[in-house]
Amino acid sequence: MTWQLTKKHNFDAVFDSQKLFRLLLEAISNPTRIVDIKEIADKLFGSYPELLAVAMTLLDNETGFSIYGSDSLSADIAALTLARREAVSAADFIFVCDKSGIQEAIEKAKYGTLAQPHKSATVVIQSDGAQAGSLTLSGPGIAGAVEIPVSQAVKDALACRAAQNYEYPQGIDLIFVSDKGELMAVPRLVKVVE
Amino acid sequence: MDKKRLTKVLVRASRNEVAVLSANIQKSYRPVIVKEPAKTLAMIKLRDPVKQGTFFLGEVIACEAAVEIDGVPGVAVMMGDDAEKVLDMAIIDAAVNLGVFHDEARLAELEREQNKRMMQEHAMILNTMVNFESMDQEAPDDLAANKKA
Repeated sequence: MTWQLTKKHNFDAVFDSQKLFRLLLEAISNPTRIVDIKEIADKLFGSYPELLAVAMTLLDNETGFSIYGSDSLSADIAALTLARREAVSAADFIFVCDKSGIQEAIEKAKYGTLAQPHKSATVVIQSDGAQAGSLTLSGPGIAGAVEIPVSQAVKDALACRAAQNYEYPQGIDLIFVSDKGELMAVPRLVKVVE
Repeated sequence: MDKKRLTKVLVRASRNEVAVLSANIQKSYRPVIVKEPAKTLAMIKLRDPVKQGTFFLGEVIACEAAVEIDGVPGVAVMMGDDAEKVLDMAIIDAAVNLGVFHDEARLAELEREQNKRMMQEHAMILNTMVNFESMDQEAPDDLAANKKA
């Protein structure tokens, strides 16, 4: 059906989330692979359309989320997905809009229990995409070890996560998005090789 | 008029009546659709007076929409699948939230009409109501009469 009124965004809650979900799945099962979500993120609005697109795909009214660095993103996510705003330590998804929130978000994020490791948080981090050296990653989904160029946000987040010394199989999953629409995931078992 | 009363009047009103109110708002404001009208399912929660608990009777089809006027949100959810009406209701909700809804008098008029219609309907139904108590009293007499015969 068509409406005479203008629409705030063109993101389709069914088809676009399905597409983005496939891309997320590809990224999570192939850590270090970068997928392009620009086309889908461009359908949304605001200062952080990439984070909003991930939120539209993963969140619903049964999930809780928390945000570092943008009140307007928090309001948009709550309005569009009907997800609950939660304290960082109770949130299922944590969105970090700028680098300054990374450390606190990872330190406070819930990491599951030994019996229920899936009750952990997924932290989605916005990075500026500017290269700041490279890291060698290894773990499930990576053949041997792969060296990839990374931004400062990725470096900080992985260093901070490694410092938490989670006991297997506990831990948190990280997803990075850049404002160019690149998305990369680093699941809990993927580690930095020195 | 509070939100509960407002919604009640709008839900009972016809699509055209709601469309007129929404069109009045759109003369001076440009609503933006945040969530297009879409069908959804909602659970119906009922209270059981015997066991004193709540239970779900089942699911009902509903229609929901969300709009924005000058950044102020308005939402509407309604039983049924009338997408146009639910969109107009969301626009009215946004206008009320923004404080620019001026058709209160028309709403009150609609409410009066609806109440009147409902009372008339009730009165008609009341005429056909059977008083079971009086039947109970009649029954033994009738039985006695039958026996004698």
